Amino acid sequence: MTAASIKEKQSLIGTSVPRIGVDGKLNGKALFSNDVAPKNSLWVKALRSELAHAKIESIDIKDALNTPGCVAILTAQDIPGNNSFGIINKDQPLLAGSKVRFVGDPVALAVAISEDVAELALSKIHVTYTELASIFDPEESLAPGSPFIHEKGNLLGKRLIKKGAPELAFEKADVIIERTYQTTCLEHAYLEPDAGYAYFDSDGKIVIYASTQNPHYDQADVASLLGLEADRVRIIQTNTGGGFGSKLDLNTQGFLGLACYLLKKPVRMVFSREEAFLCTSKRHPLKIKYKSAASKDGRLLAIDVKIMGDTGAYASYGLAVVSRSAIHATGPYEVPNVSIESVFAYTNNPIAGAMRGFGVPQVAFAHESQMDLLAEALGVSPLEIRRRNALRLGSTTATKQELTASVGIQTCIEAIAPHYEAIRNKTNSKDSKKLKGVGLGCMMYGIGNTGTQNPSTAQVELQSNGGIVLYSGAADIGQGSSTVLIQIVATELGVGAEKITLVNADTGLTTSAGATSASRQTYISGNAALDAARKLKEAILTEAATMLKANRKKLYMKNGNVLDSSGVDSSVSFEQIANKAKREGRPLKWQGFFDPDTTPLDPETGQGKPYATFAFAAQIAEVEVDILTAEVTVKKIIAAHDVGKAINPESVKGQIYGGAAMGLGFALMEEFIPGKTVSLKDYHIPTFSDMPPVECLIIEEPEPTGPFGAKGVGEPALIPTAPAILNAIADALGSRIYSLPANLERVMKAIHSGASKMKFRLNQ
Amino acid sequence: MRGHFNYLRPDCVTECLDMLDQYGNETAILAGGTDVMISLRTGVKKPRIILDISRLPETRQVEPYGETVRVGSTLTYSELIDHPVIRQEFPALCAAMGCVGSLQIRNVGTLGGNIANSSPAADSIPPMMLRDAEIIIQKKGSSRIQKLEKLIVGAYSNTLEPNELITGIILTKIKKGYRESYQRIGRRKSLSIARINAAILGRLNDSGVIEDARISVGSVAPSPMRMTNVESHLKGRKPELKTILEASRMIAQEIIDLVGVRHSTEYKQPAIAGLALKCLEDVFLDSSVN
Repeated sequence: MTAASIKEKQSLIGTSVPRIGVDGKLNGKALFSNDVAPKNSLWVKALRSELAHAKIESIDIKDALNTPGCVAILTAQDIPGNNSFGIINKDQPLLAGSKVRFVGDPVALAVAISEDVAELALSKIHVTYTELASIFDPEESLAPGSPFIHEKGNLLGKRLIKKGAPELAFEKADVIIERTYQTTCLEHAYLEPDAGYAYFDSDGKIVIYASTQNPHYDQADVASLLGLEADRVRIIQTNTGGGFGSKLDLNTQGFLGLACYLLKKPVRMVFSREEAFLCTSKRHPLKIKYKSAASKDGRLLAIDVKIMGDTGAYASYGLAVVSRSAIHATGPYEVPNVSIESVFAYTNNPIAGAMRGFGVPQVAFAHESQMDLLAEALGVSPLEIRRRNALRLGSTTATKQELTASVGIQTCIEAIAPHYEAIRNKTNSKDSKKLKGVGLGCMMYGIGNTGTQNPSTAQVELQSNGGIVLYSGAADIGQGSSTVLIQIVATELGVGAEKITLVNADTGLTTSAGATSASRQTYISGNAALDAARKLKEAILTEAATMLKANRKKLYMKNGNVLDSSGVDSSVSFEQIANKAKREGRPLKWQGFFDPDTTPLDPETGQGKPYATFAFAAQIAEVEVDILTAEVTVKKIIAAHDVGKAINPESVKGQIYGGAAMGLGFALMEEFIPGKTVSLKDYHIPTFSDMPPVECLIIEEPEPTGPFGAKGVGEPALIPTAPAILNAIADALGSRIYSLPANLERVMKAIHSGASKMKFRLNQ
Repeated sequence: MRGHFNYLRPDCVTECLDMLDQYGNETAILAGGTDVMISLRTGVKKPRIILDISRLPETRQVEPYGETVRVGSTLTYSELIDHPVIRQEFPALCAAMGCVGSLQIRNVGTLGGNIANSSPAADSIPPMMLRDAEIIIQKKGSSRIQKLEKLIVGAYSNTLEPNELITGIILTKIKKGYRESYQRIGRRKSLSIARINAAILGRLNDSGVIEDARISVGSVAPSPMRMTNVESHLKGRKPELKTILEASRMIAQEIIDLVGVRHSTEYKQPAIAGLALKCLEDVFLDSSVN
């Protein structure tokens, strides 16, 4: 390939093509899943358990059925197929049959002519329960003699990672730091509460419009619940107002499918904010016991990490978090000796599932606190200790995966270094009641699912009018994957983005792209789309060579035409090519495929290649702590992210801004307390006024297997922010907080236990 | 479930009082709706009638009268914050109203509503308490005036009868040489309920001695409270840092003595003192202005 052809090829790569569909979002015309249902749809509402753990003795629906306008009351016994679903473990009933396992577990559905009637009918269902002992702590759950929440027991899963000889390394270490970190349940708090609409189409298929991150998984599980072949269910993703992992679960789709299938009528469902809070998945609260050893020269020698996770009543994506939290416990550092154990248990708390980062934000809080503690103990700067230990080409991770390309953590650290030094050297403010601090947070993040196949497919078709259609199963939930996929295909085929029509996230029209999760769509579905585009390109060039009677190798594509670069003034348009191929019966729709190169992890040692590539980042947070009131103000965030290649830089920045906001919430205010937190009135997420300026430094260490070198940024954006803020608070106060969030109470406690930097004390 | 109700919107206070006289017991009064709408949605309130008082002309005026200003009860926070007389005469109240919720909430929420809701964390109440606020309450055929401190008797609890309406608030203008300050702590920078709030008003005499000090603290007890012991302690002293610090600690101690040591005390005691210190410094230590 010549330099010129590369240049031509990259014409849309690295340009901020406006987001597909952005106008509808701005003018309010975009339809979301609660907007698509016609007026005559029946309303579905769920009756949810008010008990955390109880046996269902009986459900009396007589009175409810007599409610005028109530069409049906459905319970577990009405489910025709397999009443259990879940993306990894099928342990969750759509409607509780024998028992309920958390407050919010659905027990029955009312289907009625209006939402009010459905609610009234629900209030007339009489459920008789026998309460069972409930467990809200994962360690208690695994203690001998604890009542079983599931028949198979209370252990969700365990991941062990062993590398080198950690015991020996701890003996020889110059410094050992051992601390325990605790994080809490978090609510995703996406803008759009879950909703959907289902109807029977003329072919007898159940069509479900849903706010979802994973239409093809939804299709399989809804079909299984109904005892149908998958092709009898069609899932169409509507515009989705955020998901952050929670819309990977079947939140409304199963209920809609059941009611539509049994009643043969159009049905709709929408969660109130309170219902979404009560029953959708949460971030796993983790307790992390972390022991690090380092040598005098500031090199990490060993870590010993024990992670205890609470997965709540059902597994959801819990197993993914078990493994991912373990694999990422080292952070982006080379650690020669490793012992990691991650154990998650069922409890009667709300379901914990996927949430932006799958456990990595939690462990990053621990490993980044440890790095600062080591730095302090060794008398080196937080920046320097990270430089010395950061992964580089040829490093091996905890799972003994050798990193052979695109290891951008050193570059990220060097990118923020001058900013860090500049903030450090700023004189502290004269106001001794407001202490300033600066902190670092670094991270690595494996792109795609952990140690398992997670392919994507796509098709690209040349139409007879010369237009290009891209078919992808990838759900764009607001992060921008649709735009990125179009940029990739348009670039490969030498046309403008406007020439590409995207058909996506509709199981009736597209094949699976896998979940919009694990920051995987740019890398994996981008590669699948690129593969399809390349195949189509080959076909187009072959046709053109025949038509132009030209040397195929001298041909190139530009603006929907194939041109000859050998000086001959001849060209043929895509339209002409399409017509000829069509007449002669040659295919113009090509399938692309990509599955990242991974290997499963060894169950005993955790060794293996869980991910084909990793994203890296380093962030700085500058904070000010008011020592009179314990209020923390984040003044600035500087975020360097190695994304391989920023296909759409503004979208990358958008992810970083949003991630920083979510990270700030995780650091300072977000806490979901089961049984207490009801809605956004008591669950604080950051507002515009809480957000400081965020400066993005996009680092591009190309990933050879990525589309145009790209990796991913969706989850990485969030991960370093909370650690950076917590380290900045510790820097300001001279004392450290080990439990998130660093709320007013915890910061006040730290103020009164810290001493070194305190110039002003109320009780002086 | 959404309740069903009748909606009434009187055109003048007389008509409104007639309606209250007739339906008061089954009525929820709606001014800005920022509290009522929430309790309707959650089902805490299930009134048969919603009485919309947001457009009663008699309750939408700011009228200076001698040493006082009469503020109409249904003026919104935004209207008041933008009003020249209110800005001039009541800086701490303006600061407090500026902390209420978000701009959207301030655009509809009213001062009368904040009083009638009687939240322990109401932003506007501590600064009004320092200005001898008197509440004008009307019912069919009569009216009464009650001091704000007497009107609010506990958390979300006051002496208003179902047939009564708050039509105005009488506040004393700021006097020469006085300064005041409002401070609050929230769990985030906007859209948060005050974790603790405080207003302090005071004046130094010509020899730099504290002549008057008035302190009101909110969100710490069932209703915002005046700290009269500390007020008298401060009077006659010079506002040195030592004195101010001592007063701040006294305020915190007095509140903790009153409400008892709880789980939250570990935070609240130093934070109350810290917030009080900010107000006291603002009022007494930086006397270059005014």
